[in-house]
Amino acid sequence: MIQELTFWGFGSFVLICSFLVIHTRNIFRAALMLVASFLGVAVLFVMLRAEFLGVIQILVYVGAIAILIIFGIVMTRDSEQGNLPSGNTFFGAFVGTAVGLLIAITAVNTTWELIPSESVLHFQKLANDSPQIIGGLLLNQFMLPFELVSVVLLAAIIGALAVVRD
Amino acid sequence: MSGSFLESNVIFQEIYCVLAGSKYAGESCSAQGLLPVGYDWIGFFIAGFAIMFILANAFMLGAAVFVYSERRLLGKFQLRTGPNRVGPFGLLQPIADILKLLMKEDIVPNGADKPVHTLAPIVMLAPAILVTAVIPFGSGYFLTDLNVGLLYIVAVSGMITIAIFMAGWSCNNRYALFGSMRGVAQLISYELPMVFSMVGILILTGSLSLIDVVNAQDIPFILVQPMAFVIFLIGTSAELNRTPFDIVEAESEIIAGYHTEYSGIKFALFQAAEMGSILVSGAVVATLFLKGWEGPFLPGPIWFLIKVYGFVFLMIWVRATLPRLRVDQVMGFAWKFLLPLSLVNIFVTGASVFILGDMENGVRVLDSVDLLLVGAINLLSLIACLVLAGFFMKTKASGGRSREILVSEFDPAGREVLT
Repeated sequence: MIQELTFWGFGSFVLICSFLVIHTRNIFRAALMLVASFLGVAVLFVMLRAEFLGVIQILVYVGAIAILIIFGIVMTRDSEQGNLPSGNTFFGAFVGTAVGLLIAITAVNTTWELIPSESVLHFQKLANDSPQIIGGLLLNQFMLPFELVSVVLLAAIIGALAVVRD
Repeated sequence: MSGSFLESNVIFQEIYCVLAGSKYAGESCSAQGLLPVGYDWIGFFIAGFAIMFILANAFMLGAAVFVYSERRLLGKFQLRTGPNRVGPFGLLQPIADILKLLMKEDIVPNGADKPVHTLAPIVMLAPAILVTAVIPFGSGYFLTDLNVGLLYIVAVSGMITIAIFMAGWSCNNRYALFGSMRGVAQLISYELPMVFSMVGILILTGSLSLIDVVNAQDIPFILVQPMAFVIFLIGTSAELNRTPFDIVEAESEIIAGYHTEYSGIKFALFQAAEMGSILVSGAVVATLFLKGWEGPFLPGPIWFLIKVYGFVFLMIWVRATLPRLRVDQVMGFAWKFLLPLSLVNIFVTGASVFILGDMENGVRVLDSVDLLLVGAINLLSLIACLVLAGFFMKTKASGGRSREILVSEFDPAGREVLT
């Protein structure tokens, strides 16, 4: 019961915050709403017993990306004019609906495997060791994608430096 | 959530015992429970909330004690008495301060973003208290044992950055905005080396849980990881905006930084968050590097307090001794010196564990002699790095660029922050 209440509570919290990100006139408050919705998503991760992902969500999105966005807003000259309307309303609505439908259809059509009650303890242990397991997978099985991501990040850093030096 | 960590939580078990008459998931207690049979779950909640209540109040009380000890000790360092009128030895001074702040008028400046202005001190205080949740104060004395405890501390304390920015932006005041811009830049820069310095400890313990970190310390990690300790100490004093890194609220340059426009209870909350975070950082340092609650003769929590207050004393000492750095010096120090040093630390620790450790069940295990050897290698590479850095800075300083930087020191608008 409590679990369902928490899920629906935080799920709607995330949705309301994301809606307010778009519809707040004050652009700084919109950025703060973005932070709030990131926090809500972290709570949902923790509810799924993915504490590692939840903490990483806060660390990366709230601690780094949100700060960068806020910095970007403050440095922009147009920030005085508030949250300016976008010209691509139709295109944005189309892409948003399409992605949302795709996720919803996939979620409904997937047959979710439920954990049999006799192996719940085993899976709880797995959840407790998840940081080690994720680390092992990243450095063994998924080494190549992991390194590719770091190359992309390196390119981004070099690009940022090149932009700053101009 | 699994309740396994609750079974080893002494305070929780004691309170649950009094209320429910039996241990949580265990044998019965000596006395009859206060609650009727079948209402154990109320005991579950009350016991949890009782620990949270103790932690939050200990945080605020600790902040008050810190204010008193800092003012008295700074007085001693500067050859004056410090506050000594209110109560015996001035012990009631923090209470008088708090009463004064509570009775002051709460002013919201003209043109301020009122909701954000009100929310900022709360967002500042909450993460500082939240960090106490994972810190073990003694064997079995904790609120919760997260399997990602170390990352939790880093993530939650990262929220303070947003609070500082909210405070600076919402006030509609130029000095506050400058202060918060400086603050965000500084906090982001010093977070990286601080987190990287924890990686060496992670390599040695193989777990993110703080209780495992304490249990893994056959030798305190300050001896095994001296380089990480130095980086972590500098990083935390920058994260706490303490002198020599207090450019965020440098009173002689930008009045008081992000809390220029705050008064009354909101200002008190900012101060409480700042002072309490110093104690919390002391607790983190004690857990990571000083073997947590363990020590001879005395009980665990008392050893823990001694270690925390040792760190607090060091912080006050540093504040009384060192002058403030310039903005460009602070940023350059983080990116050009501390970050490479922390990467060297990760490499040196990893390599020495790889060479010295013996494989057992797919995990590398080190005995005490090995750990001391790791520490010796770490210390030697720290000295080597310092010598190298000193050599490079000497050759650079004679290149004639230092004169150019000195001019920007007299720029009153703090233009170097924005460029």
